[in-house]
Amino acid sequence: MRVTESMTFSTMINNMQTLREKLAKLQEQAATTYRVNAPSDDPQATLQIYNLKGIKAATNQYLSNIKSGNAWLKQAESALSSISDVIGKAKDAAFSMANGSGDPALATSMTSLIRQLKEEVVVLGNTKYGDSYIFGGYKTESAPFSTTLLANGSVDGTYNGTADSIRVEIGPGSSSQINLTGDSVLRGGTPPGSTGTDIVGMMDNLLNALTANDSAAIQALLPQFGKAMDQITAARSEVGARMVRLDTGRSMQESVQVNLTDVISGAQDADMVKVMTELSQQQTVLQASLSASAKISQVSLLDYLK
Amino acid sequence: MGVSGLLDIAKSALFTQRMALDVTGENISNVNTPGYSRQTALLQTRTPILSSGFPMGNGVEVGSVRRVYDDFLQRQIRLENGRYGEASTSYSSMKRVEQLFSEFGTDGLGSSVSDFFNAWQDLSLNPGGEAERQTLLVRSEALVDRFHQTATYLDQVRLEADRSLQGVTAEVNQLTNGIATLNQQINELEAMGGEANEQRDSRDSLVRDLASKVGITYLEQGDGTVTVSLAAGPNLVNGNSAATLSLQPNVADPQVHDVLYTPAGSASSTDITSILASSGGELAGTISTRDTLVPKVMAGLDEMAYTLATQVNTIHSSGYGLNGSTALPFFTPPTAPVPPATFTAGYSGIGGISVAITSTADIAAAQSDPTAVGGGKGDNRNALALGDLRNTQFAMAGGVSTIEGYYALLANDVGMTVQGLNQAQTQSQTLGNQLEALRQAGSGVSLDEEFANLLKYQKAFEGAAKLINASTEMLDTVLNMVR
Repeated sequence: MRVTESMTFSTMINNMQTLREKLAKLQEQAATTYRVNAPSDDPQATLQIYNLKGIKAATNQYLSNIKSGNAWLKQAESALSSISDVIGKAKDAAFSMANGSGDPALATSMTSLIRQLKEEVVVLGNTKYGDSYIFGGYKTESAPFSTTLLANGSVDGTYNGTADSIRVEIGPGSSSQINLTGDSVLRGGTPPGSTGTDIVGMMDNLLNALTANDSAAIQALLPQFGKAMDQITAARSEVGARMVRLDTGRSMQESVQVNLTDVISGAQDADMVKVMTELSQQQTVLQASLSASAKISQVSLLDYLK
Repeated sequence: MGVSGLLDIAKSALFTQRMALDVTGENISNVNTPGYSRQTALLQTRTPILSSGFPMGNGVEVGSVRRVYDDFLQRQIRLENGRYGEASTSYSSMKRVEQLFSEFGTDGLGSSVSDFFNAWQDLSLNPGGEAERQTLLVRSEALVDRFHQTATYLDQVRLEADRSLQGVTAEVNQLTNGIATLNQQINELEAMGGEANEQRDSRDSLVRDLASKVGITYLEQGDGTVTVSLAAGPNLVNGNSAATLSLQPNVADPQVHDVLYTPAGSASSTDITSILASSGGELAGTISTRDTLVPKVMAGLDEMAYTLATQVNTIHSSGYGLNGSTALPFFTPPTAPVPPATFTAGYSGIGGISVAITSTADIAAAQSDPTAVGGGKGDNRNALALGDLRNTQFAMAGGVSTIEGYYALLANDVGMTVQGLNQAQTQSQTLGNQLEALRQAGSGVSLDEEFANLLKYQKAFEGAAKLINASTEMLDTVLNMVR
């Protein structure tokens, strides 16, 4: 094969171009630390990375949903625990009055205590998280229990919320309830007492019995207090169970998140050791090629002609 | 045969060697001229004469100056030039499109879609919250902006491809005219018995340039002219006349142009856009970028926007806003697609998708009227359903996929197109380089060789001069005899 000058030079230039191209690719990878910098670098990996990124974004959202749901449940739990305390106090008061002397002065002071305790129960039923009343069902914007004063001087306590459950998404297609509705917790269903113990009504009855100083009626109310305590305990364990569910969801999503980060990084990230090694290799090759080319072009018959 | 005969031979040698030196000189001076084929002076003996009954040599002459040329190789080079022209034109356009779908270090349309769904879920946590509602609107606007930006940029790439047609067709016209002119010159020169080596080289390089612009077939005629025609169509150059390509706005879409073909000396023209699209070369690359590659990506984007908007609207309009508003679409509803189309073309662009909801109270997070009895602002069922749309798979032209997944599919598709074009481009470039090296091996000028020739002819020239010296001395001797 004849070898001509322009052939040598164009081959040299082409080779140099190829080397520089490889070098540029490696430099890009070294600079971004990504193996894939454009979809065309690896279309299949792009498909995978983008899909996983979508799932990762969703996972982050699920985790934030779970956090929010947990806050609701914590708030409910603390309200329920306070309600339980209040009912305990009311129960003690009822107990002492049922077996008491029927002293009218004592009855009057007990009346005002129970009135206060009833108000406390209602106010706790109106607990808020952020701007939302957590026991109101969908009616989160207004207090679910009426606080209007009745003729006997106590708050009304009528439930104005709805019986709906609020759910949040804690995983793809999986949601968890984050609320308890006030009607079932404090009023024993709608109408009051239809499915459980009407705690507000019970306090009302106690108040009326005290006002009338009717120890027999008070006595008759005592078993209800046990049931009321049971109802609150049941509600608290329900909240606890939901928190456990959220926690399970959280640890699941967290492990998904870690896995995803791993897989995305595997598909997208460059092996830096390999990149750096190849980079210095390519630089050496380019140098060798440059110096060889420089030498080749120095040789010519012209040098030997006089 | 006398002494003057010797002088005559010496003279022929002097002339011939000088001519060979001229050819060598031409070769040396054109060592870097692209497309130049080296020439060789073919020396031959002059017709012998009878002298004293013997045939005697009569010196030397240049039989012809031949260029070293391989037509087969040239054809292959032209073919690869055409392939390279097509692939590299499409590649550079699609590489720009690819940037739109590149979300490795930065955020793009894909993350905007994720943000949009996340905003619905955030709203489901506090459906009455003004901040959440505001965030959702901002996210939705951002999503719509991304759609618009992407669609606008795609359209720009398409229109730029169209605008480059102007330049390419002008170049084609210039080249075909050049070839026609050279055809004429070569025909005239060779009819007079001359060698039109340089003109042929120039014509070859024009044909090569032309082949990179548009796919051609090429046939050399007996009279030295070449007939150049489109790979799948009419003649571009015939003898000394060339056809003209011109542009005319497309009837259906006046923003883009059809390529018209006007034969030499004719006033009527025909639309050859579809022929050009399958002919190869830069023109084919430009036309396929404009008419096939970019529109395909655009269609995918339109379908994604259309599916997202119609699905979101269906759920949204079934829900209730804080103020009891219902049956409101969230995005501007697309005009109904004309069958067989399953989505509205151009919906992803400006004038297409936009956020129809302006008041935060109109965002329908609830499934029952919050203002009605039994309803409340805490009703988040619609927001949940909308947030959960991200997990729903829809049947779209590119496959059954979620909205986010469809974006990944689009990016994958663009990536594969660019990768394919890059491979085609690299391949034809490598092949072209190899063929060019082969051409250089045969037709290229080797300086070493030329220097050797230079020396050879120089020595021969010296020899011829010596001959003249000798014959002069002989003549002197003869003249001195009569003194």
